[in-house]
Amino acid sequence: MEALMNNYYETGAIILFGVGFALVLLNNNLIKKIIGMNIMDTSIFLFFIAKGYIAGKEAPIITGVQKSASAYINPLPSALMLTGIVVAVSTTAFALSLVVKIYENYGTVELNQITKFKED
Amino acid sequence: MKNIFAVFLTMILIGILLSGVSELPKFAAEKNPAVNEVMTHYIEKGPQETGAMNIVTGIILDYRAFDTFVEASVLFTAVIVVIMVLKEFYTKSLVTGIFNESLILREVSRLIIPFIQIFGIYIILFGHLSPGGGFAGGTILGVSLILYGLSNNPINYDKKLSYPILIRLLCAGMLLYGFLKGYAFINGGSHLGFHNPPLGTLGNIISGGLILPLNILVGMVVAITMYFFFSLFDKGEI
Repeated sequence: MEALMNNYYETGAIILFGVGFALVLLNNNLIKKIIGMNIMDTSIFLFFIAKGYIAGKEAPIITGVQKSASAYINPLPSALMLTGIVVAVSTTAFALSLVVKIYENYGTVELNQITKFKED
Repeated sequence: MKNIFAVFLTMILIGILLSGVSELPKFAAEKNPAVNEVMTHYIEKGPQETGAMNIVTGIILDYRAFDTFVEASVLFTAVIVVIMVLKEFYTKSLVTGIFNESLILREVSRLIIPFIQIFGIYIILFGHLSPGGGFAGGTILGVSLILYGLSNNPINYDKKLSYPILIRLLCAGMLLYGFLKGYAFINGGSHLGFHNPPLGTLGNIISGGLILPLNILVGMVVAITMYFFFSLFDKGEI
C-alpha cells in the first residue's frame, strides 16, 4: 500500500486504464466505446512518460552552457511516446470512419439494435 | 447480468496490474534502472553529434529517425484508409448540405489565419532549439487550414486547398523523407564516406544537418493529415 502511494502517477494511470476498459465493455453506443479506447491509450502514455522523471532535474533542452548528464531528466520515454500518440490518433480516425459507414447503412449507432437488424 | 460480469472482470484486471505496480522502483529516484548508459550518451554526446540543442528532437530525428519515418507512414496509412472509406469518388453536387453564412466568422478568420500560420511555422523551424518540432507545429498549421475550411462557403471560394495538389504534397513529403534519411543511413552504415550535410554552429537555425528539412517535411505531412480528416468527416469530400 505504501508502494502504491509512492508511485501515485503509475497507480493513477492504471486506474484510468480500468475506467477506459469498463467504458468499452459497459456501453451500448459505438462512439462511447471509441472514447473508452482513447482513454486507455492516454493512460498508457501517462504511465510511460512518468518513468522518465528524476526529482530535482530540469528539462533536456540546453540553454546557455551544457551541464553534465546528471542535471537533466531522462529524454528517452518522451521521445518514444511521440510515436504512440500518433498511432492513437490514427486508430481513432479509422474507427470513427467505420462508425460513419455503419450509421449510413443501419441508421443507428446502438449496438443492440444493429445486432437485432442482423438477426432478421 | 452482463454489466456485473464486466465490472467484475475490470476489477480483476486492475488488481493484477496494481500488484505489478507495487513492485516498481520508487518514482523519480536517482538510481532507477531506466537511468543507464544510453541516457548518459544521448545527453553528453547529443549536441555535438546531432547539432540540436533540444535533445528529444535530436533523438527522434537523428538517432532514431527511422522510428519517426514509420510513424509518419502510419499517419499516411490512416489518411489513405479514411479516404478509401469516406470519400465519394463520383461527382456530387456542391449544393447539398446546409452551410451557415456568417459574416463575423469570415472576416475575423481572414484576420487571424496568417498569425496562426506564422506561429505554426515558427514552432516547426525552431524545433531543434526549443520545445516543439514537426508534430506540434504541423498540428497548429492544420488547425489554421481547418479554420479556413470552416469559414468559407464551398460554392464561393475557388478551391485553394484542392485534392490533387494536397495529395501530391503528402506523397512527395513521405518519399523525400525516405530518400534523405536513406542516404544518411547507407552513407554511415556502409562507411562509404560520401559528403554529409554540415552540422553548423550550435544555436543557429540553419544547423543540425538534416534535422531542419526533416522537421519541415513532418510538419507538412501532419498539417495535410489534419485538414483531410476534418474535411472528410465534415463534408464527405475534400
